[in-house]
Amino acid sequence: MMLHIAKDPQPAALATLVERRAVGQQRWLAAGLPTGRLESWKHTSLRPMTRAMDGVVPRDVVPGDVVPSGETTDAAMPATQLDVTPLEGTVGTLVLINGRLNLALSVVPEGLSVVDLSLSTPDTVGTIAPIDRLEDALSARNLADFDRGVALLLDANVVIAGPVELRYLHDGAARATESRSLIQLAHHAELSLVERHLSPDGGVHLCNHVVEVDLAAGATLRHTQVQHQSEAAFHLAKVAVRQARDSRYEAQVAQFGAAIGRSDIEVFLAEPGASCQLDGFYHGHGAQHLDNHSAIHHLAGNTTSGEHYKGVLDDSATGIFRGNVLIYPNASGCATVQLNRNLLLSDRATVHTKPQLEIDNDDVTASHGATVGQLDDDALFYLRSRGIPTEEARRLLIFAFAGEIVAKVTLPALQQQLRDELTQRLAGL
Amino acid sequence: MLQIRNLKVKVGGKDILRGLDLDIPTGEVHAIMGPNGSGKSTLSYALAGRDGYDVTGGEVTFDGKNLLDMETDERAREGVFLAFQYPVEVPGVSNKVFLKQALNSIRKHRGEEELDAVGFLKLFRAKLKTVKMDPTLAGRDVNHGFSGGEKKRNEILQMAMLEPKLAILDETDSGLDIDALKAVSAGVNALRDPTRSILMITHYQRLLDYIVPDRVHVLLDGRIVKSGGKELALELEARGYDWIRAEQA
Ligand SMILES: Nc1ncnc2c1ncn2[C@@H]1O[C@H](COP(=O)(O)OP(=O)(O)O)[C@@H](O)[C@H]1O
Ligand SMILES: [Mg+2]
Repeated sequence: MMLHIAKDPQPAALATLVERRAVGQQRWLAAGLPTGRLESWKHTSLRPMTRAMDGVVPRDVVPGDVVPSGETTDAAMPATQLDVTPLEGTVGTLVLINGRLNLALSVVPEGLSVVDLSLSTPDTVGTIAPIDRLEDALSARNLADFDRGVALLLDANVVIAGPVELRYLHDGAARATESRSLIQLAHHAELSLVERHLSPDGGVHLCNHVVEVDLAAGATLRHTQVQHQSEAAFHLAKVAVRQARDSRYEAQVAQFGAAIGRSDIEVFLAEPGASCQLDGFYHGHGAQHLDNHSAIHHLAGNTTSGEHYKGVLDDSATGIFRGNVLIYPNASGCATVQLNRNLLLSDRATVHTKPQLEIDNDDVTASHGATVGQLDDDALFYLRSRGIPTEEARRLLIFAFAGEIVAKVTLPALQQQLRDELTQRLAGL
Repeated sequence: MLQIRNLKVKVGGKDILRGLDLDIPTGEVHAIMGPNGSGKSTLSYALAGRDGYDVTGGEVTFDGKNLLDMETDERAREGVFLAFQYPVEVPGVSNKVFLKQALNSIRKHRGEEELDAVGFLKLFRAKLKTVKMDPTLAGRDVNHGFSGGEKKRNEILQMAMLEPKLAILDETDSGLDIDALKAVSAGVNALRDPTRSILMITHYQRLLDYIVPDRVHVLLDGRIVKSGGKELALELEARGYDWIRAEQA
């Protein structure tokens, strides 16, 4: 068991961004790419990525090496691949090409301040995604090198009327990008954010992405994250959330794409009344490797968290769920529920699941569990006995399994897209 | 409609049906009675094509076709319907979605137009009345959290919707109170038609007061050992099965 004692990330504790970047650089140089020796990377090897991305991501980082930064010359994306049609029901769409904001293609809703991080950077960047842990060398590298992304800032009491999408379009030409975003909501502000990572050209690329979320008292962020990059691509995403009193963070994560996709969410419930709910769905086929990590730190009393992830793994795909919930010594009156369920559709598919609870006081309500199973033969027979063809019956049962999570995506157009996508994937398209 | 010749079925390596013969002419209602463990459910599962019910011999002709050659779902599309002794719960799949998909699979197979949502709902509501089923219940997930009686009603609702050529009812009457029994019987009788056949598997002759059979068969140790008219059911009710066993010996 590995209890990493995370510090409550305090902006004041760290100096300027320039200094933080230097610390990130040192950390990255010292640690290099995470390997299986680290508990949190035990089941995810980045070797296929370094092979595929030869020359862009160093295989082994020797201290003193010069770390190549993200590709800075963006080849113009062909117009046919520039899908900038807004999702129905959204009030704004920010288009990011290879992680870089393209304002000309974007629609910014009123009330939302947008800062292009390739031009100027708020000094709070790098205060939430921790850089003091070996496991997180990727965040450190990102902090040292990020040269693109957006900060979204919402003033106190501002409620954006509908969802805003951050649409990331990645192409194979950009190879590796270090992008970052900062979502900062002042007290009682509310935002629904959809973040989608797509690869219109199906190319090989690495997106090392960090999102920092800072929620002041009473603020609410709904954060839908769709990872739908090409299956030749690599997606490494870290989301770090700091929550003040009575704030609410809700994440819906869908992982469909990438050869190796990793979604790592770390939440710091820093003050009483803060709560978070993380829901996730992953469908892997072929040889995909989809990793879902999370850590929820109950630093303060009367904080609550919930986590519900479901995975469907086909062919020789691998799914990983590792959720760590940590209740700190003085955090009394906390509640947490954690559940991960997996469906294996093939006997070559693998899942590693490890919900984990570390409690340092008695006054807590906690439950956690994990299941790995197959399609229910009795149910399949029952559906087929009514004339439903086998493939359709299987699909009905898989949708029945996934539906609970997909339903958490409240934007109807996006929910429908996810269902259509799943239908296509199940049909082997 | 259905001809079964010398049917032999193994379950879990054990011979359960050992040369079963049965004929159900089109338009007739037949009943099979037999003690627990005699192989009644095995027969119904074998006819539905369930995995694990290995046919090791014999023939089954349904509507002129070799039934044993078909997959479970093909059999259903051809018009075989099994009302399960223990209907399966399918959480997450709504009864309506399930039934619409089943009905349209069957309609497509028959060369009929698939029903849209409106057409389906109209039919669904009409059939709900026939089996006196609570509409809110009928719209929930398939059998999920249903009581035993509600599950049986749901089987009959499905049968009423799918209008099979051959309906096999495996102990649909067990565990039903009198109102439910009447509703279920009404559903079955509504399906009775010169073009359809019904096979009722039951323990109790009381069902046969509501659905009067043309023939009654006794299944014992994996074979049909006696057949007769509806009065045979009364005799079985009064005398049990031992006298038949004695006749066999
Ligand atoms: N899955 C199974 N594996 C092994 N034996 C079974 C299985 N299912 C049924 N049997 C056996 O087959 C026999 C017939 O069962 P069944 O057809 O359910 O009888 P009935 O419906 O007439 O009560 C019983 O002896 C039962 O124990
Ligand atoms: Mg039985």
